[in-house]
Amino acid sequence: MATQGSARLSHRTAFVPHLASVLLAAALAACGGGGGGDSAPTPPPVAVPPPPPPVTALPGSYTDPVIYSGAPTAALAAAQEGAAKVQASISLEGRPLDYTATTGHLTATDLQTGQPAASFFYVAYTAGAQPAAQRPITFFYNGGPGSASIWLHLGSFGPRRLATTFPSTEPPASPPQLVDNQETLLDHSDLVFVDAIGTGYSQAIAPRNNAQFWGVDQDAAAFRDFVRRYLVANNRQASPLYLFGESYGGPRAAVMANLLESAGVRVAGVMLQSPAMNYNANCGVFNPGQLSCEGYLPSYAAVSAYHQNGSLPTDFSSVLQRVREFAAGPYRSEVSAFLSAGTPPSDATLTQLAAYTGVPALAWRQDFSMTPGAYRARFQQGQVIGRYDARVRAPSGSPLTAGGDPSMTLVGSVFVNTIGSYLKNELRYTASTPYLSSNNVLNQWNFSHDGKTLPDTIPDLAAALMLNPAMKIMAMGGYHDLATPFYQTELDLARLGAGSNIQIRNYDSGHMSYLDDRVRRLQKADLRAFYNSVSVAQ
Amino acid sequence: MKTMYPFFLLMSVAGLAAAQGPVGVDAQVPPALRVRPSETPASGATLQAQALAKLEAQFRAADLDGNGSLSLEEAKGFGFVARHFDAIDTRRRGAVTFDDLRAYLAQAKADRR
Repeated sequence: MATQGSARLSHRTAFVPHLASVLLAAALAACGGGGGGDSAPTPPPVAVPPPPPPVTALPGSYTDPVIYSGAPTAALAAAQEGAAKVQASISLEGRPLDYTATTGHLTATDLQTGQPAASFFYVAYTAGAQPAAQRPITFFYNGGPGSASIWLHLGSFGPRRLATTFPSTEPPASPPQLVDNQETLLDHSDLVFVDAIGTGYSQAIAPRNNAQFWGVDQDAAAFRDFVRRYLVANNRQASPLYLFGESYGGPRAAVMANLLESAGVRVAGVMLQSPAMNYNANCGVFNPGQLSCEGYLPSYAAVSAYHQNGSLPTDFSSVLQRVREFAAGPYRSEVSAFLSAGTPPSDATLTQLAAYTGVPALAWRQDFSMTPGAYRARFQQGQVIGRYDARVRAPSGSPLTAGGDPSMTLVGSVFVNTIGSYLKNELRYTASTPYLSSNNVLNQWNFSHDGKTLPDTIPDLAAALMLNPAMKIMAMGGYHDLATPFYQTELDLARLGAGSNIQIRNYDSGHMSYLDDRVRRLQKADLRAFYNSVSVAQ
Repeated sequence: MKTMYPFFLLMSVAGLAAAQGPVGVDAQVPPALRVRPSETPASGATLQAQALAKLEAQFRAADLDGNGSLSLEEAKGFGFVARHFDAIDTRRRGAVTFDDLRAYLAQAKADRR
């Protein structure tokens, strides 16, 4: 029951939530807190243009009457599949790329019972007139768990992108704006950004409630059922199907790939952006002193080199290769003896660690299996480096460090403040409740999977590959990510054995590597090759 | 209070990133789960056996009458089998066993080489 509209959007003016920024700044000041490090000065008054007609009167707009909630026990009384549908266009490399943006809900019905389970909120960008079988479709989602897909939606490969100066900590000359995204993947695939249940505007349908989907298996099964519904509702069963998951969205994609293949829905490819494929192998997940942190050593080396030089040396890949070999060689064997029997490390290894990581040998002697949190705390006295992107550095106690991770504080508020106006003004979808960019569900999340208390989703990929040996996998990571380190992802995926359909691309960037203008261009080229599809751009 | 909600949104984003802790805390999981079970991640033949066990569990779940094989009707609970039923049911018995599925997958993998 999507309403049709055909108005051409002008994208020359972006919608910047000045009011929200001012309110945010006021709220922060009132609370004596900080964290809005990117808050720009209030712009000078300008001539006010005549007010535009109300969005709800424009063609294709949809005013959603439903009240949404991310509360654990919240449930919608019934399923509704309303959507706004807008014809739009961006300028891509100087030429117009026309597309349709569909924003609203589809109902995932439980595969086993056939009953409505959850109402998923999504934004779909579709373009071109190719037959479905030739036109890929890609489903994007962030992780957390508990994050809406706002980061991928506004920051990565959609047709419109929130342009920031990340990772610079200098206040931008002008407030970040939405721009036509020259790195959109819309020329090579239709793109669907979908929010997890209890985030965005996605919610369980009675008698189920939100919290019943807050677990590895329940969440992935519901996402599978959303994908099934989307494909049927839009007659896209013949389209090559891709899953693009970031962070926790990586393991979600692995579990989904197996569940979709098992359900008879073929998956052409899985893209894993800075994924946490196996929680049990990531030493940052656990209390210190339990697990080798070898997966982090190349990241520590990259962070150290970056802060010594202000950038990575051009020949750094050879250094990283030596650090990988050191991590899997002397470090792994000595840390194993250290963790199991308290055997002290050798001086040679400590000296090498200090040289690679910029943290003194004495500190490594005291803390031989150094977790990323401990590394960040020790790296530079008086400075805090980011967890999601350790290139971002701020003085201890400064506003950027108030949330614990300056790299998230740097961009968090502008993303959160932009999504609402973008949905309303460009996509013409309005709801009476605020969009839930994140929901603190961690402590209620059921992490157990396949008999383990924390998920290892490499077997899920292995099972999906058994059912579909042609399924392609591409993992992407950032050298400066201290949450899901790229080398750990390499070790995780290596368990699948060498295969021509598994690729890994790492970039001189952080967890959300696409926020970097230079890196996003590299990723677009890599992803274009991965799709190997025909462009619909003119 | 209406003006406060952007602040809470911001805090929840920051909280998600940093688990509301000081620098040095990595927590991505609840405290009770931060004690690691000791085991080595499976690879090679062990991983393949795990993956096969996952498929077998899905097969058993679809085998509603528990007779060890899936009819075309039962195969709707394991859509992959339903979709490839005739190709898996090489002996034309109108039912497929897990061994039939294994043989089909092995053949599909071999054909790809």
